[in-house]
Amino acid sequence: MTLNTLRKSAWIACLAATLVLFAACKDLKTPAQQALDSVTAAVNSVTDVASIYAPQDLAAVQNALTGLQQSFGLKEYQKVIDGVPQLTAQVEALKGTIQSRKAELGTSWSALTAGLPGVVDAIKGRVDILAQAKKLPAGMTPEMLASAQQGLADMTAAWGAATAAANADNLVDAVAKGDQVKSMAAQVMTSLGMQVPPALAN
Amino acid sequence: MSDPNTPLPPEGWDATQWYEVQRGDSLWKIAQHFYGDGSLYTKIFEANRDVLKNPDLIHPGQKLRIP
Repeated sequence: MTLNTLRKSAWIACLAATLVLFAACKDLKTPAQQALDSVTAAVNSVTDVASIYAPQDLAAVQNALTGLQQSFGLKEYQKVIDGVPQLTAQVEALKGTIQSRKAELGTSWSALTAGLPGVVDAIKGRVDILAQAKKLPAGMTPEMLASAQQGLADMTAAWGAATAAANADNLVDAVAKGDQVKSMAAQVMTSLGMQVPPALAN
Repeated sequence: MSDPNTPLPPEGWDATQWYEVQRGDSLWKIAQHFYGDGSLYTKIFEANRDVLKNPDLIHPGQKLRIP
């Protein structure tokens, strides 16, 4: 074989290998694209709710998705195909986390809605009576009563915001605001000389 | 408060304020202690209509709601 023939053969072999690689690549592109589209849709479907109930887990899922999208951009289709099942499992785990967090917060919210309105009513009843008194009880100044009245207004506003958050399916905010009302109520009851229910002490 | 249709608060959340009547107490004195103004005794009487028939008749050991 002459050197020229050898060069020609090598060139043909190289071209053939490139063609095989190209064909293989082309074969993988469609399934990689489909897998990526499917997992992207799965991530998108939980993004809103996960941003409320599991923001850190969501960030990890979004990072993994970005990694797969970058691999796809680099034509690393096999890597994408291999990575999608793992990300799909991560999305399923995220859904589980959301569910358990929602259940946990739902229990807290139920306790708040069952107990807090009665507490606020009791405070309002006492504040309304004290506002009618010609003289305040020993140890209570008009400033303390004014502060309790303000506290009651703040509690009512915070409870309204908590209820609005719950109605918007954001139990994280609802419970956080409800807990604020709880601690405000304990403070106001103490300043009015009222017995604080044990649930407010937690 | 004495409305039988009012649901009971969950355990630990009951904010009802109670006072046990002492010897020598009157509703006026109790109102003066809690509200600073004895003339508001009617508030206590109204909150305890289920156990008090007469605002002048209270007994030591009786437990009264203080609204």
